[in-house]
Amino acid sequence: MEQTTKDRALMKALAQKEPRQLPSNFAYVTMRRIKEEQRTEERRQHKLAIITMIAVTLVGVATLLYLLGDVIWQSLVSISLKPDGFALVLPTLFCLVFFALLNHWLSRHRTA
Amino acid sequence: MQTDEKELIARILDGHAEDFGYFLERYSHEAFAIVVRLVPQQEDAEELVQDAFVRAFNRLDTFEGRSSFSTWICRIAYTTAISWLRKRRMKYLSIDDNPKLSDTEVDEAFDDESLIEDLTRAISLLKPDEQTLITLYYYDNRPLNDIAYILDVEPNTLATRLHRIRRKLYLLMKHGTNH
Repeated sequence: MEQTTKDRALMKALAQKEPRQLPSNFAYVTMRRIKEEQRTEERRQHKLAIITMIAVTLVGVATLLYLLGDVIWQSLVSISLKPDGFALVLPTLFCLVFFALLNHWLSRHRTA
Repeated sequence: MQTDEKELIARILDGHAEDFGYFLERYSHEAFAIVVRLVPQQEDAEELVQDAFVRAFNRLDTFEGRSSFSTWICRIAYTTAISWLRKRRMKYLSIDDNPKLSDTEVDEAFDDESLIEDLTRAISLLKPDEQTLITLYYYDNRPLNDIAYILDVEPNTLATRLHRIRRKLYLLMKHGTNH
């Protein structure tokens, strides 16, 4: 099929169907949509990560309590019976809160 | 595909989404040219091309560079438009082939410039894949391998299909309005 030397009418008919043009801001509008979809996807991934983390934590705590629940309970009871049993609890709690805040601050600082 | 395009794709995949603007600027008109011939409304065609580029962006990691980016995005645009048309179940004319029709008769008609108006009308009665095939082959002069990739068909079937479409086009031109 040598369409270059013949089919002149067909070529002209196809040329008459030559399409309209895209608007000049098409690339800009599409990029904006792509970025919006990216942000939506990131938010979805973030939510999914939080839900997964909570689920894993709950399963972990439940497994720990199931396997070592009695031992933990007995330890707490024996600590509470001693006069200075909770001496270590307050500093440990303070450290936990401090590291949680530090982690939060570092995460915000990194994304900014 | 050009080396700088490969580098750009690598950069985009590395998180520089803004570099995708280059592909939009360079190839959106080609993709639009395919879609707008299939979809009657300008707004629908624009939206479908946008959908095609968003899809291409999301699947950029699957682009292996075996075809040019242009052919790849045209294929995505074409399949997006065809899916859209299928959902709307648009009707197209089918016409039985006439075994008595000679190829010479068809060739002469396609060379007769007094028949351009009839041919234009007949083209619009073809099915979307047929319109795309003759446009890519006769008007855009694309290689058969590229056309086969865009339409997702075997390259060795294209010559037969083109031949059949030529005959159908002739019959539509002569009798299409009576069907």
